[in-house]
Amino acid sequence: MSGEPKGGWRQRLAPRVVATRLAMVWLLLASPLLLAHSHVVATQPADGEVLQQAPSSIAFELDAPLRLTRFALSGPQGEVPLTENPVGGMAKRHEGEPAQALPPGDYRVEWRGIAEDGHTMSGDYRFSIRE
Amino acid sequence: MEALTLVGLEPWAVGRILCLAGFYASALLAVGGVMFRFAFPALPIGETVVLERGVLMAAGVGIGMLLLLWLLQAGYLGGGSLTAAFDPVLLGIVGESAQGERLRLALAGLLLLAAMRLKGRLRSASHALSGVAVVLVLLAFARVGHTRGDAGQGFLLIAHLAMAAFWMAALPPLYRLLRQDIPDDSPLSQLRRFSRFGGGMIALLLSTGIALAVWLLGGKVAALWQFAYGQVLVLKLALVGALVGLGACNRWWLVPGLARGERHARRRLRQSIVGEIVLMALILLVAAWLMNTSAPMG
Repeated sequence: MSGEPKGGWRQRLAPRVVATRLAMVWLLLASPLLLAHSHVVATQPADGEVLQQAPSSIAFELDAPLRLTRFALSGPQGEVPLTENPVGGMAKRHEGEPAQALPPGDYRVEWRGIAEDGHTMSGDYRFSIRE
Repeated sequence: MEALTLVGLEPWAVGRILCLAGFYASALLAVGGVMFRFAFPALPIGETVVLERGVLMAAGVGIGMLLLLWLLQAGYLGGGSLTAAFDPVLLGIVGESAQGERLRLALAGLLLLAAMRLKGRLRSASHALSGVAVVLVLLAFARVGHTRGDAGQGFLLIAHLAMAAFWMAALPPLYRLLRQDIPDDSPLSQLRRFSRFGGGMIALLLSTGIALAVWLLGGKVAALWQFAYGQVLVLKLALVGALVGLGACNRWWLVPGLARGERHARRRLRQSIVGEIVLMALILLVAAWLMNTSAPMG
């Protein structure tokens, strides 16, 4: 057959050669496990917490840095603006302060961001303020 | 604490998965097409021309998918809106991230693939430039996700993808050769050649895939059913098993049948190759889904 090395592939695919190459690949398995995805380790207020008074700030903390792209607080009257735009920061802890007083009701904090390895992540948590 | 779900079932998330699968398919077809072109120098001239055009077309689609993915990522990260998709700040954040690095590497590699068509005195340069292009595109895959920051696992992924790309890109030309009513044994000789490559190709594809899976599952077999990532991986493994089964069927049953001049062997081989193409498409879709799922490693 034209253009084909004579007997080369048969030699290269001999069982001993293939076994050696597979062994080399498997040796690479010995490298330590690294870089799991970020996980939420704490939120402020805690997820599902019922508060007697409005919190002065909302926050969440991860076990690895995340570049924040969205941090939104929504309540009974819709989305609540924050005093500063937290978008863009690469950190483990992200925090924001509501720009207005929070009336009693149910609230949801939603966040999104991009991790150092390029994975996009999102999450949310809820809390309530009693009358 | 329980692993996070990285993707909600919202339109922007689904769009990202489909676009990522489209990028995988087109980029791997382009890269694999170049590898196939150089591994099969005795292809009929007409088929070589079709193959080269296919590579350029796949590279163009891959670039389009990359740019669309950039917008979809920004849109998703901004909360899922068209305004967010065109927000310069969010586009900048995506561009500066590992995804931006993948975009730049893949873009450079896909553009450089055009060097494959250099002729005459530049032919030797075409081989070198095509090789660089292939490495750039495959490296782009390893720079995002779980393999980023681990050279060993990145190398495994590159080897895994190179074999997948070669297999994927070989299917359309082999199918076309079987459709043509060529009197000589050209299809048979190319199929036999592919079968000879097949042993090493599948061995490397499976060994690197298993090694990566073991690493991503944190060495825990139970992770296959305890985590969403493991469950999606089981689906991918089932599809890969079916694909390898079809390949084995071709290697040990249909190609020898064609050599013996059996009736319907040519038609059955064509049907088998179509089956392989469908399975490949499903595997890419599941792979894109996996890329958006948190692995239980560590």
